[in-house]
Amino acid sequence: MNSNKTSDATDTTRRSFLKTSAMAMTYMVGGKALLLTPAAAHAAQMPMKVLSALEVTTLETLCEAIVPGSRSAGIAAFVDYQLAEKPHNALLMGRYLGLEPPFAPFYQQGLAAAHQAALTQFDRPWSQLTESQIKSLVDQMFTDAIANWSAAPASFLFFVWRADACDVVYGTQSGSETIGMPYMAHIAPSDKWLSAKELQK
Amino acid sequence: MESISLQDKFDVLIVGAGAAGSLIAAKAVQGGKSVLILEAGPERKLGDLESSQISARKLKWGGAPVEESGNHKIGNSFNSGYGTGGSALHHYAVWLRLHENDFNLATEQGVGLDWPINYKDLMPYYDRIQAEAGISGDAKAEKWRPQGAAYPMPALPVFAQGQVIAKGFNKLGMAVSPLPLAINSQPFKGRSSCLYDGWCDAGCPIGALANPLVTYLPQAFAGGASIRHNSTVSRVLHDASGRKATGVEYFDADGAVHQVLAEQVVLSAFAVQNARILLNSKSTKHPAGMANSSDKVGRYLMTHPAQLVLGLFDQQTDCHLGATGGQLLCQDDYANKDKGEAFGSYQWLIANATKPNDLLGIATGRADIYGAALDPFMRKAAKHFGQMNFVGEDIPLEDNRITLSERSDQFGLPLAATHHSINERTRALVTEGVNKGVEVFKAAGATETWTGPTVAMHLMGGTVMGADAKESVCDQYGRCHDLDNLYIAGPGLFPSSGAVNPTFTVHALALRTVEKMLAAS
Repeated sequence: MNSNKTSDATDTTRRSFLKTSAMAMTYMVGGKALLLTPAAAHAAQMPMKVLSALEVTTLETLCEAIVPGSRSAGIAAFVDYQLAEKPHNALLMGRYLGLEPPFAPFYQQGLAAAHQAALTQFDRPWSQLTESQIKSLVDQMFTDAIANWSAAPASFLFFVWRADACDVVYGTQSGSETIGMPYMAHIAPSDKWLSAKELQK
Repeated sequence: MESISLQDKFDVLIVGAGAAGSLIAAKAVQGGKSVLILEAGPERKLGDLESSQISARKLKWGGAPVEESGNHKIGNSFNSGYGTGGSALHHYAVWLRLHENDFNLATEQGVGLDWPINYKDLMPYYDRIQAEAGISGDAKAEKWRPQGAAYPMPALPVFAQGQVIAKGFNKLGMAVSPLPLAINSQPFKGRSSCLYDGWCDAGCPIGALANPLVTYLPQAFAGGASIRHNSTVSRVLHDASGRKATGVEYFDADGAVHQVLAEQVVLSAFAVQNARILLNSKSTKHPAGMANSSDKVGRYLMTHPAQLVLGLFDQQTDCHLGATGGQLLCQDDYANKDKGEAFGSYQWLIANATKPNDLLGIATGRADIYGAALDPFMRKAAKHFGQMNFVGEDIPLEDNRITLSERSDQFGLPLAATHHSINERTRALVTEGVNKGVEVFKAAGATETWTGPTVAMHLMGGTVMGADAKESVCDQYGRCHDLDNLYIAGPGLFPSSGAVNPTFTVHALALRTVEKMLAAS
């Protein structure tokens, strides 16, 4: 029970980084643990733990409109994985914004409200909307202009989802360097994230 | 719930492994005492501190939810730590001294509370702490700095972002100095120097930043101190007289209840949780909670109102370089607290190292930019972004307080409920300061300027020290007025907030406390 020392382990390999990385997520496939980044999990179409198929497409569509690139960067896989974590291990920025655990109801009620708004205004789900219809709804969310919104304020959800999407698009080493900002990690991640295919070899 | 009596007994029992608890543990073992630290969060190691703003979130508060209300909520989750090192593990190492005019607010200004000590009482402790832990800075360039020894290391370099923004201050006739940081500008006592890569918020794994994992915890463990993680303290125990604390009761991660006995007990679990533990320690001798005969436990909760001024410049700013806390300091508006409609000191922490994402990142401050416009903005800002942080004084108000909620945590313990509002004079201070900040950015040549929301930075008060036992919880050494051997450590002791970052003062006060404890035993 007692410990009288802390160990220092700064020699981090690519695999050990992934094991501890904020964005590495563990999936059990065929009895084996699979470590994936959100983007790799998206590419591999890994099953969701919390979000339904409708919630996934709603989240992906609206986030892609807010932060282009977030769908392929794995926004749905990232959010789903964090919602399944114990609250003190969850790495969603909502922790800083006064969200009380469990966080899933906040997300799911928001996605349900967004889905209902799409049905009400365009009679179809987000995944079937045109670009201009998606933009219209996103603009309305930002300004809290959607009538009968039955969740946390739409502008707050917009802020949270935008932050989540920015995490997966710009918060990685490659995302930072893509916009011209050197990442300069103390504990360096690998140059390239392991893909699902590579990990399965 | 099963109760297990371990019959453990230590000379000194410390609740919380943050800045104050770590220092007290180190000095106590060096004074020949047996020491146990109980930490609510998990074990943290330097190797855990990976460079990611996302990963950094696991270092923040992860214990029982804290309810928040008021017009200026305290932001407990962002401001508190969880695990070895506490909030000091992810702090930004801006180590500034309180000023002489911060200690007598009630007497000199007619608002708030006085400290039971003055700057001259604390100055030698500041000097000793900076010699032990290391600070880089330029004391002469800080024209506002109160008396004290020069810093042991030269200032950290100023990068392009700082140079660009400094021009705005200079054009308006305002002074800037290098920001004093508990970050090594050169190797110091076996710890390496900073790489200036701006990952302070995620925790510094190379030991350049003075967090407890590299300052006082190694000393504590080398001297034989023990630590138990995932240990949530529920209440302080006392003897039949009610005057002596005998130990604490805590829950382990599996929910089993334990008791540990000690000759001296220190609560250093940060402002909110210290008050929560005391209020939950009701008994026949302490019907309103431990150390609460004054009804002051939980009161005078404070936080620095803070607001970012941000902008884009024609020049390349290299905003990813430097320290998260900033590169430069301006305290031109610190000395004059009574500003008419506005009240309080304030300072600028200038040119903070910035990442693309997260609460203080480039993207977050411009939620109005989204869709196709976002990526071009991010690419431009990555090269030309600049920001600085207004940090203002909070007036200590009795009704800003921590109480116990009717809701409970997983162990059945009442949650902490916090209420914090700022009054009109404090709001006017923020407005005045931020308007000035925008002027500075325009003078510096910003092509576009915007401001963030007013947020809560740092937590203080709730177990304030004072000379009068009827008006405060602790004496000048942090010893509770109502008990002979129960001590409080950390920023909860502050009777007023000043406008400087509190960690340096937390260390100085903790050093005073442990030396008093050793003398008393």
